[in-house]
Amino acid sequence: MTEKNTEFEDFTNVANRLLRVPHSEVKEKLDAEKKAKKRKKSKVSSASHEANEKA
Amino acid sequence: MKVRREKRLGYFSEYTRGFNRSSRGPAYHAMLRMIDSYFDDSADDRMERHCATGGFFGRAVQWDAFIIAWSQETHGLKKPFHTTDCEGGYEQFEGWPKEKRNELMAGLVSIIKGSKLAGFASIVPIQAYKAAFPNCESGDPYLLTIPHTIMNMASIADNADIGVNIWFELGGPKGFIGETFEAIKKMKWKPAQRLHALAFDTKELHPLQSADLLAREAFKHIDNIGVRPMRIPMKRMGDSNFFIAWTEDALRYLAANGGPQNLELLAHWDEYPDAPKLKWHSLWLAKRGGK
Repeated sequence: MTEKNTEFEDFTNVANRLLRVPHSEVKEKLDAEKKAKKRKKSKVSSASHEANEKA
Repeated sequence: MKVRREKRLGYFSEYTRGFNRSSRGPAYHAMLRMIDSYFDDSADDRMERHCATGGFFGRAVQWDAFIIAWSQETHGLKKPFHTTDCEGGYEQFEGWPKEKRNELMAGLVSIIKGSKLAGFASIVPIQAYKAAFPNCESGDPYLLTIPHTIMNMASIADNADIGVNIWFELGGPKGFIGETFEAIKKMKWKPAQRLHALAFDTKELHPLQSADLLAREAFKHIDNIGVRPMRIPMKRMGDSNFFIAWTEDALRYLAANGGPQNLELLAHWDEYPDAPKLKWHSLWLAKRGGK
């Protein structure tokens, strides 16, 4: 079911690569996501603030 | 005089809730050398088309980062995140505008991607199963996904020379899952030695909320083929997700050779030259194949 098949080999290769990712890389990625989200939120809130002012 | 306080190691489902695990630090968890994997099930309402078991696996450092980010993203929710409710605007999401629900979903998918977790799902086409096993009971197609999932986790762990813990969402057939896990562990099959522990928990556990998301995406992905375009979460997570779908031929072959109880056949499926290949679905494989 799981061995001697190329798809499974690819699956294990990808899984092994992901399992070896250092913690610093994961943290960096998640911090970047968080910052991007904050930026997006502040843009939206300033836009809605402007819209409210115009109204 | 300083008194060294020994912390008792709780149930392993308990220490993965975040607080115990994080207090022990990355060195401790690296020492454990374990893959932690979390699974949930999904199907159409009437259990007529497809059923799936799906979830994510990764190391403690990945799950630690995941839990912190996921809890921040979902801290305003009254209940554990449930993908179907978020998508449809049901239960705690009633009254939420579609944009807000989409934004939450997108944020959670970003966390999964950022945590570098790998996804796996086993999917069974229900009508094909019923055709191969005419006397089966309604829940039987789903039961096939259990040994399939456990065996794949054992193989992944064996390949990585590491152990694996497996969690299932508590709402499933706990007795069957436990018996299957023990039966696989007892097999004279090398990857089975990698199976470390099995646990059940509710969706209070954040990783099981992500399992709920993946199981649903896996079901939807297969169910939508030829009908609707690929869903956005699947497109975004796809590179690290691998789904295996049973085919009609494979189910007939299984039925002719002892059925799902034949764990030896399941474990060595690809070594049988006449065993039909199962269908793999992965964006990574599709890209590699230039499709």
